[in-house]
Amino acid sequence: MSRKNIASSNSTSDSSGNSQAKCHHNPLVSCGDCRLNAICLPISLHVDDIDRLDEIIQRGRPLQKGEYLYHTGAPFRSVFAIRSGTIKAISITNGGQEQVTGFYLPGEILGMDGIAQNHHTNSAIALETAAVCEIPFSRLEELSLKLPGLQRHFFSLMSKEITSDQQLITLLSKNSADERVASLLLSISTRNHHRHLSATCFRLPMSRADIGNYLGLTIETVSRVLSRFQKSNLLAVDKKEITILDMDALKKVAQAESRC
Amino acid sequence: MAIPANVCGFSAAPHTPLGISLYAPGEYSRIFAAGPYTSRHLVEGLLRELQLRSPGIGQRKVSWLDWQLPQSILDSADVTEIMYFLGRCYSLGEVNSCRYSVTFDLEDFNEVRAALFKGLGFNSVEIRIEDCKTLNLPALLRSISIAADFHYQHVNLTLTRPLASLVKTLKQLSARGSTLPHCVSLGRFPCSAENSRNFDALFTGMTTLGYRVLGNDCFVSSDSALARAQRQRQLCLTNHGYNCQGVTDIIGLGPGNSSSWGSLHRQNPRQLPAYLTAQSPDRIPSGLPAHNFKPVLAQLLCYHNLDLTYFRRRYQWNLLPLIEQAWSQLQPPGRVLYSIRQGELRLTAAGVRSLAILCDALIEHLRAATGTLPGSASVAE
Repeated sequence: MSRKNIASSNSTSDSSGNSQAKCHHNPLVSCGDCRLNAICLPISLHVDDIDRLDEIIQRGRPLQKGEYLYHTGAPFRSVFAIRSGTIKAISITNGGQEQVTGFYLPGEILGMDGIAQNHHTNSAIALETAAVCEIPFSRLEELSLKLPGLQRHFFSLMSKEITSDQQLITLLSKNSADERVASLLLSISTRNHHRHLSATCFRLPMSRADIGNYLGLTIETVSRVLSRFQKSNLLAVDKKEITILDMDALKKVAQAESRC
Repeated sequence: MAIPANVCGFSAAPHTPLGISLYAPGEYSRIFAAGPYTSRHLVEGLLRELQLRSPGIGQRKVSWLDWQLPQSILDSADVTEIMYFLGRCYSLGEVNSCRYSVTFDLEDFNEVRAALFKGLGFNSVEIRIEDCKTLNLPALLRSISIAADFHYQHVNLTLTRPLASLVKTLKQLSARGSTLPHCVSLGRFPCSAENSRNFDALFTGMTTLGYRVLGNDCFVSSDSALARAQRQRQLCLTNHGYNCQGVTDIIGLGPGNSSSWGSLHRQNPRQLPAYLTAQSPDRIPSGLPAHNFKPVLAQLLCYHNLDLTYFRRRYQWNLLPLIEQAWSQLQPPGRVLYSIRQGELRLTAAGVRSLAILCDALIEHLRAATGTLPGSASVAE
């Protein structure tokens, strides 16, 4: 597998929105070696084609907690694959309040909100130190024409993103607090499982406030629900550490239908 | 294929809204199962066609979109891919002012598909009921509930033949607190005594339930946008049905689909191999001069009346003798199908019910009269 240095190019934005020059590409990191390649874009590629994807990927310095990956309104140029850490997407309501619209874990792609209108409709902020791979969309399109599997996988990812966004809207409009919290926990559990991590023991990367904002609940309600789940022996909760004790019961609470 | 601008009736005005229909025959599921063609061939054919036909018209706002591709043969990635390239080639509009409808068979409609199409910009669901004697009430309830959960603005039903049990089912829906379909439309069904009886019962029942009728085969709830458009005389009629978005030009994408473009009607080959190699849709045989007298038929179907004075002034057409010739034999004794007062012909309730027969007869006479009425000669295409 060839390893190339990529000269600094389009850079990720810092929290003030200014571009910064990136560090040189780490020659030890490539799609072929990445432990997430089984769930990220390379999953769709033949091993001989992974290099071609690797050539268009840009990898900059890690984002620090609270740092912006992109701002609302920024021209859409790239989508981003998360290599490590967690990123939340937010939009600003008409009233000027921040609304969390999604949480993105390693191996997941974000930034597709910019495709329709050519600018990002959300902002993306690191919840902890995060490393991302930036994929210039025009180059991804060009490569997709040559690698139909890549294009198909990308549309599959896009369709899942679109579907889950709408399912969340429905979840928020008609489900109880217990159902919403249970759905989120199951979603994180499933996504961890896809990364070959434990589906039952994991750390919540987001705060109770962010969870409440995302699910349309107050912090107090989120805490009460988690306490209730703990008392019912569905979960063990230790600050941000979650252990799911009864997966079936949790699925029953969530009606096991939606993904947050 | 870009329609030449010098063809009579073609409108390339950028402000004129455009309609797009996506269709493939239902039997394609069996065709793909048997091979050698797969759904990928269909997707690539559609993408090729939508790109071929976009030059010169891609900037027109698409106010009407109708998805009738069989759900069972396309997965979510296929659907997203088609919509992605449709959005790249055409100007998809703001959802609230448009009608973007997706059709499902009753058994195909589920939460995941409902979520996907809603996220892709669709605001209207059409549930198609194929040949059956009675409606599956639980399935229908569930479908309407799913559509409501995902905030679809409209839920409509399409029946392939009149079902006498439909009215009873709608009453049961209402009794359970469910929203009733905004529109119930009938496909063209074979003439038979049973279908005739069922149609009469259906027609009576639907009007009793408060539905208004467009033509005689499309029942719309009285508070629907189509009903409002009918009252305000703002309906448009195309070969894909009625709309209130002002759309008269429709591009029909997919095998077997038809396009109407001013005075032009085109149809794509229905067989997949022919569709995949076609450079442009075939002209629909113009055995009927419908495009010449389209305003007459449209007014009759949309509003159940004809402003005879208007047609005399605007087109120098004296339609009254033609109508009397065409319809005089069709009035059963003691049954009045229409009345004429102060230059306006109005259909009675019996006339509306017999609209299909009246239109067929009128078309025959109009065809025979082509050339004798001013400006009515066939347009060279």
